Amino acid sequence: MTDSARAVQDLAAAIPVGEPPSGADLTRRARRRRRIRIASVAAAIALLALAAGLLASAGPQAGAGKAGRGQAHNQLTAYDVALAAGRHALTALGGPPVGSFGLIRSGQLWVLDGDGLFLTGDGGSSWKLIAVPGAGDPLANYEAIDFVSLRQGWIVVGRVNSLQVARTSDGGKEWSSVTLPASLFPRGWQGADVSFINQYDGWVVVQPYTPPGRQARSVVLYTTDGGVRWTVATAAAPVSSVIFSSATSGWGLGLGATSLYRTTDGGRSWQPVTLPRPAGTATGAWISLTLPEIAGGRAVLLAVPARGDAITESTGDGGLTWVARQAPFRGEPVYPQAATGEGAVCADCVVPGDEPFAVLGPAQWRYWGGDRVYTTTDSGATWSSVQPNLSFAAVGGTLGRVGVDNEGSEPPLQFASPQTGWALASTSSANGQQSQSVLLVTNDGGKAFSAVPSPRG
Amino acid sequence: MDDAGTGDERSRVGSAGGLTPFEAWYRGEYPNMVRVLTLVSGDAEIAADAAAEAFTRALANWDRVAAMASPAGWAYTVALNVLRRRQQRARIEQLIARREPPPPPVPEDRLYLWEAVRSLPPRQRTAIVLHYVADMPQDQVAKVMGVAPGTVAATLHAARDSLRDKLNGSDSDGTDRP
Repeated sequence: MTDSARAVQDLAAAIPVGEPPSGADLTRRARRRRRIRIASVAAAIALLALAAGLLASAGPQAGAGKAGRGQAHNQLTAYDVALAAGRHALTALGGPPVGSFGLIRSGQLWVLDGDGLFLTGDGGSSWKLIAVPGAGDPLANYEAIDFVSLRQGWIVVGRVNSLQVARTSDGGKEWSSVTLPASLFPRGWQGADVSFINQYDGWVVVQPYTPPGRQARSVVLYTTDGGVRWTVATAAAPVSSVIFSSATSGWGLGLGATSLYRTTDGGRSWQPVTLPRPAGTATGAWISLTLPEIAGGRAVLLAVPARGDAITESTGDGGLTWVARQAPFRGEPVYPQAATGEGAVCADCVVPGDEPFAVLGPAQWRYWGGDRVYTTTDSGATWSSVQPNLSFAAVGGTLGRVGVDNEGSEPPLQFASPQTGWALASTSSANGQQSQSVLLVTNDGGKAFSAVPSPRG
Repeated sequence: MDDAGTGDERSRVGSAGGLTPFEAWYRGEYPNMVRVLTLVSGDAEIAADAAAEAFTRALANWDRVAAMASPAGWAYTVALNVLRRRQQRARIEQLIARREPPPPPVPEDRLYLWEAVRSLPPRQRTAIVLHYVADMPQDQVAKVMGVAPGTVAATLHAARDSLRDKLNGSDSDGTDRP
């Protein structure tokens, strides 16, 4: 037993614990969960019945139907400048829809919550709300989101026993939804991802619930018509999220975020990828990998082996050859919550996706580690770093140090341009007793960040 | 399975001590789970809710859970997954509604320990409290966290080193039980 261990045990013992809920309380809670499941099924049946006349075949394998026209929000404008590729900035959220935030190509920002998408095109000075399917529905979760243009986007809306892929082609004025067949996940689902490469070709990954001890495998569906019809590519994919560079070539992050896979047939089959390691870095299994980002024909990811080394990996030939370089910062891994198929239970998995690693171009990358922002412009051969100035004036007062990894999740860091970027930081007071989540924006390449006012004022 | 019925039926055939097997297990595991989740999340309220949710699911599936090699391992995995979602929701609520984060739930004389543990990266923090507070062996910590056993060993090592540095002490024993 070490002194550190004793300290942890001493601290745990000092935490007061109230009386556990009574058995009756747990029973009531279980009944409530059961009612929600039943309500969800009833709602899905009612929805399908209403939409029966509009159902369109999704192909013999998938059997997905077009669930009819979604809500038309005529009172909402498109806010064209704001919607654009914010992929993988959203992770799964359970329970009542609360949402997440994402960063978008043109320097704008969205925040997704139960009321819809809050969008800003002016650095957070003003916000506009666009309703999305599932808004206001306490049974709905937003599982994944992707936009390929200012107008063309998709959101995966999950309920207890159903998943819908909603699409818009007018910047959110109108949405249409396809309900994925429940036969693809008969025991329920535990995570989903969506990825498009253009307005036609896209993929959805669904992680069915996997009982303990069973090998977890995902269902990959694809569309070639913008999401009107979905066809199953495979029901045995070892991946939790995907990104494609063409209609056939793509990458998949393994369940558990510790392995990488490659497909060259549109997601029908997946081959494991062996990533090289620079000399002197730790061997053994990867602690975590990020899903590659594709820029200028190169796929770039951050890999973390044991011991916390950080290794940038990039390839320009589809994975035949890799350039692996150790970075000067410590790799803080994405916390893997996806089922590994090795016995881990994953009742409410989230898909890793928010990393403090931003790919601005094929050779220009940034990382926020500790209190410094690191930048490379030569594919990781050399790095420079700055300790950014932080201003919290917009949210009132001055907070202490920024702890980017103290709240159970890595802060997304994305740059819309070499100068403009965003981060979600957790700030804490000097003594660590108070913390707060704050959106930050930089307009000088990371030298200074300032807090963004809340969408709700 | 009827969720409620399972509990009622077990109550009728309960042990001589008046507790069903589920209740006995639940009452034994609950305090430590809340402490573990509080240390992982920093939020005692979210921790208690996640623990209650995990035990609710265990109750609803008790026949299956009770037959597992480690019902506690299953419950901790579920609880950590629930906790993760609750934390994300809380972060966004703080962001959108400017809600105040909760104060540390420990006495003032333990604040330095609280700060040291809370400053660990999430994976290290989770591993060290599962190992030392939930008293799980490393292979079970690996299963609960969904990582390789070797990863847990390395993570625990790094966590101990980091804590030792933060506490300005030196560990008397650098080794650890499996």
